[in-house]
Amino acid sequence: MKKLTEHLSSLHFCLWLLVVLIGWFTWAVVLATATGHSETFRQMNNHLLRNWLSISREGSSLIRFWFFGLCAATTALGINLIFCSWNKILKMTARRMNRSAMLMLLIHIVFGLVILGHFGSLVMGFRLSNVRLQQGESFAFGNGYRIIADQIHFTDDPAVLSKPLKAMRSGEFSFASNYVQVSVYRNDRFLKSGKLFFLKPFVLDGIQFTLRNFTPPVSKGTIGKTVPHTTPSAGTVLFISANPVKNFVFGLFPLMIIGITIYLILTWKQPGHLQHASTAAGGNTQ
Amino acid sequence: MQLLLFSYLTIACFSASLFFLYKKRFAAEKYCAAGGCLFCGLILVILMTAKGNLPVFGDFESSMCVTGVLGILVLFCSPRQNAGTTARGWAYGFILVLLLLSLYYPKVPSPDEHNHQYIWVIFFHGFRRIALAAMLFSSCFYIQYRKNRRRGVPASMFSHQGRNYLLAAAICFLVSEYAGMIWCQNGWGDFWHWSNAFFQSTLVLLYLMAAFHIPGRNGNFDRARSLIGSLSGVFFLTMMMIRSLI
Repeated sequence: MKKLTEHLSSLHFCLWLLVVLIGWFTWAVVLATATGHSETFRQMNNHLLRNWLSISREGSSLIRFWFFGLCAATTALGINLIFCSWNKILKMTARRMNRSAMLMLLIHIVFGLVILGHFGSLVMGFRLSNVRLQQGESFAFGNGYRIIADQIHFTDDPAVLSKPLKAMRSGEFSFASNYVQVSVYRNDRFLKSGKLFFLKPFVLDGIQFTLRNFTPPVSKGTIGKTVPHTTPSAGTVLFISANPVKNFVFGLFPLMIIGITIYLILTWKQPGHLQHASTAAGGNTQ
Repeated sequence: MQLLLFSYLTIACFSASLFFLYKKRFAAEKYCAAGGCLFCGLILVILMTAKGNLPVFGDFESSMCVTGVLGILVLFCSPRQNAGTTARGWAYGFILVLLLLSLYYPKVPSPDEHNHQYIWVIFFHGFRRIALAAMLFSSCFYIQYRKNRRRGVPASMFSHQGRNYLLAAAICFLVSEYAGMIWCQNGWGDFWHWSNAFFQSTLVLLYLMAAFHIPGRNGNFDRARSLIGSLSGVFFLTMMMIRSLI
């Protein structure tokens, strides 16, 4: 039992797992470059894990295998993190009682929590992708919520909308002047209205409404829905999501960075015994 | 034309630095390196004024940005005179590789994409460039350490300095990742996305983690640690080049 504990908390085990993960992610780069699989990864982004597992078909079995392999390796790394923190770093901290050892322990704990937060974002909350709305249209979703696109304000040349987002230049697409004015209702009771800009989402009750794109204007009647205006305006694509662990991860991540920075400052100078060994060997260190 | 001229002048200055380093004319080496940084800085200023934002996006401007940061690190943070000549030599080598690569890219400011004024996008790209420069600088120390070790000269100072700059690179990389998370959250509605870019970033992060988790202090593990440290800059540079190609 002691041998197993030793193994689980060893740096050797950690290193092997990291090597496995490097191989695993290299494989993912190859998979994501292949056309068919990149679509499967896109599906993963649009759905929570449970939904993705239920909708994905045989075509994605390789990605499923990759994903479960990733989960297994990450779980093993988590076990190693817990054992190592308990058996080694904590003991080292208690023995030396120095700040750098305490910081190392803290950094490892925060890192573990950040990874847990990432996993949490795969299973908690909800995601509604590709919510396409024309001006005046509404979309109903969980627990009696409804969003109405009151106004789709697009001032640039709609021809730019045929381009992918990455190809849009700042001269042809204005960040500040294009927006979607929305109102949110719950059980037909008005809650709040707000404007959605690119990279400036609207958040209400923990639900984030993100403007993903505008769509080219469609003439009245062509989409088979009644639109209460006569001039064709651009449409919009929204992403509606709720992620309960978002603030947890966004709060912990800078803590981890600050922790590593302080650790680096504290340990910048070489330990005395190593410095002595280095200088005793002679001045010529070229 | 102006950018091409300054590019050649930067190459000439850093080549002269390398030459004077091996001739042990350290004062001349230092002045030439300062000249190289100056010309590199001029290129960045021209790009910045032409485009109106930081030159950290396109291939040409980002390689000039990394060159500039690495040049400054060599000037102000490397051991001087006769100490650490291998480290400085490799740093000039990396700078020249970056400059030669930049010659193949169109010497114009990168296209002004619609999100290039967004602060988190600037942070994301900017800190990545600084991380790459710090990683390349760290590699130089590890290479020096390996060379000294082979000669039987214990110089753990270089290994420790390599570790310091690798850790500094990891911090810059994490800041870049954090900026990327905010960008992703506000642009796509979630703070991470399964994509090629994400996989490549994770690979760099895992590589750094592996470099910091090599057990033991002696023998093979020490060699492995210094080898992984030596290759860290090249690994990250390769990742960034693959990313710009895909």
